[in-house]
Amino acid sequence: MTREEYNSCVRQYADNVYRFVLKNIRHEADAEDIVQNSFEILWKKHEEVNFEKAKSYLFMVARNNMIDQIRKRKRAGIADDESKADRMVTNEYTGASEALDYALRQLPAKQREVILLRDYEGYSYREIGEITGLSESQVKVYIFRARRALQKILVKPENVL
Amino acid sequence: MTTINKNNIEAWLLDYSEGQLNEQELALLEAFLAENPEYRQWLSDFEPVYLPEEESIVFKKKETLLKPAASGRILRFSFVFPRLMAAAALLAAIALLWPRFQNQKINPEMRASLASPEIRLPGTPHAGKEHTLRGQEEKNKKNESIPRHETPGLANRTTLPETKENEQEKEKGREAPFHAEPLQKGMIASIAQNPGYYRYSEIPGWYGSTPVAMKHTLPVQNEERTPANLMESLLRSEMARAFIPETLEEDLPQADIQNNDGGPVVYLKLPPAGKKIIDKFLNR
Repeated sequence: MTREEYNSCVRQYADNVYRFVLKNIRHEADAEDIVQNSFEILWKKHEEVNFEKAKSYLFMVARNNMIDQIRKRKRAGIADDESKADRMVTNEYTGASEALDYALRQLPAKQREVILLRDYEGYSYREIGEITGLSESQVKVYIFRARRALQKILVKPENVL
Repeated sequence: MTTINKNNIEAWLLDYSEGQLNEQELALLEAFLAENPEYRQWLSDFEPVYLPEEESIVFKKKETLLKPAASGRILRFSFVFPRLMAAAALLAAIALLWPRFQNQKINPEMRASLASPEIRLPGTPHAGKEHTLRGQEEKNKKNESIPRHETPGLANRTTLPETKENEQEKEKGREAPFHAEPLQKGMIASIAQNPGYYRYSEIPGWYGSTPVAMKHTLPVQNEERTPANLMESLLRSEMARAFIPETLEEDLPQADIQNNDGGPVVYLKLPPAGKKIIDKFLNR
C-alpha cells in the first residue's frame, strides 16, 4: 500500500473504525486512542498490507486494541462510567435512535461487534469471521441472536415508543 | 452448511430469513423443524432488527493520521506550474510596466520596492489602501518613514529569488522551489479584505505568479516541533482552512517540508478547488 493509499484509508475509514470502537466501548477518549493506534500500526505495516485488505485489517487491529483496552480497564478496576450511567437511565431515551442505541448496549460484546460490522460496514459473514476470528457459521449464530435480542428489547412494553 | 444441528440451527434460520437457502437446503431445514418444532416458533416470531445508517459519529482528528507526501513531491510540482505561471506573469508585468519604463527612469529604491512588495495585515498604517503600480512612487515616499517588516509575522519574509540561488539550484539538477510569500496567520484575512494588496504582489517570482501553492514558515519552538508536527499544525491551521474550506476534509493538500537555514519551510500544494478559491479571493 502506498502513502497515498494509506491517506485514502484515513479519509475513507477513520470514521467507520471510530464509530465501531465507540459503539462498543462507549468512551470517546479511549476510542480516539484506539483509532490513532490502529492507524499507526497500519502505517508501520503499510508496505505489507494490500490496499484492498486495509479496511478489514484496520477493523481487526482496532478490535484487538479494543479488547486489550477493556481488559486493562478491568484489571485496573476502573469503573465503566458509561455502563453505570446506562444502568441508571435505562428508560430515559426519547427517540427511535436512542432506543436502538440503548438496545445495542444491552447485547453481549460479540453479538454487538458482529452486528455492527454487518449493518454499519456491510461486511459479509466470511469477512466478519476474518476480523473477529470466528467461523462463518458462528458469525451467523451471533447475528441471529443479536437480531433476536434487539427485537425482544425493543418490543418490551416499557420500551415501546 | 450441509447438516443442521442445535449448534448451528440459528445460522440456518438466519440464512432462511435472508432468503439464502436453495431448494435442497430448504428441504433439510423443513425436515429439522418437523423434528424440533420449538425452533419453528423461533422462526415465526423472528422479525429481524437492522441498524440504520449512522453518519453522525465522525472521527475529528483525521488530519493527525495523514502522512504527508514524501520529500521531493513538491519540487516536482514546482517544476511545472511556476514556470508556466511565472512566464505568464512576467509577460503581463512587462506589458504593464513598459510604458513607465519608457517614460521615466525608475530609481533603485522603487525597483527594490517593486521587487519586494508588501502584504500588510489589517490595522497597519497602509491597511485598506490598494497598491497599484502607478501609485507606487508616492507610496514609496510615504513608506520611507515606516520601518520595513514592522508587521508581525512578516519579519522573516522570503525575498524575491536571487538569480544566484536559482542558478545554484539548477546546477544541482533541479528547479528552485517556487518563491511564495511566507504566509503568516492572519494574512489570509488581510488578502481577503484587501485584495488590492494582493494584486500588487503579482510581480513575477512572487506568490501571485504561482497561485496554486503557498508556503509557510513556522518557527521551531522546541524539540517536539518536528517536521511531522509542523505539517500537522499547518494542515489543521485556520490558514489552510481559510484557503480551502470546501476541500480540506475531503481532499487534503499535499505538503512537504524542507529544512532551510531559517528553519523548516512547509510547502503546501493546493487541490484544483483550492486554486479556484484563491482566484475567487483575488477576484480574477
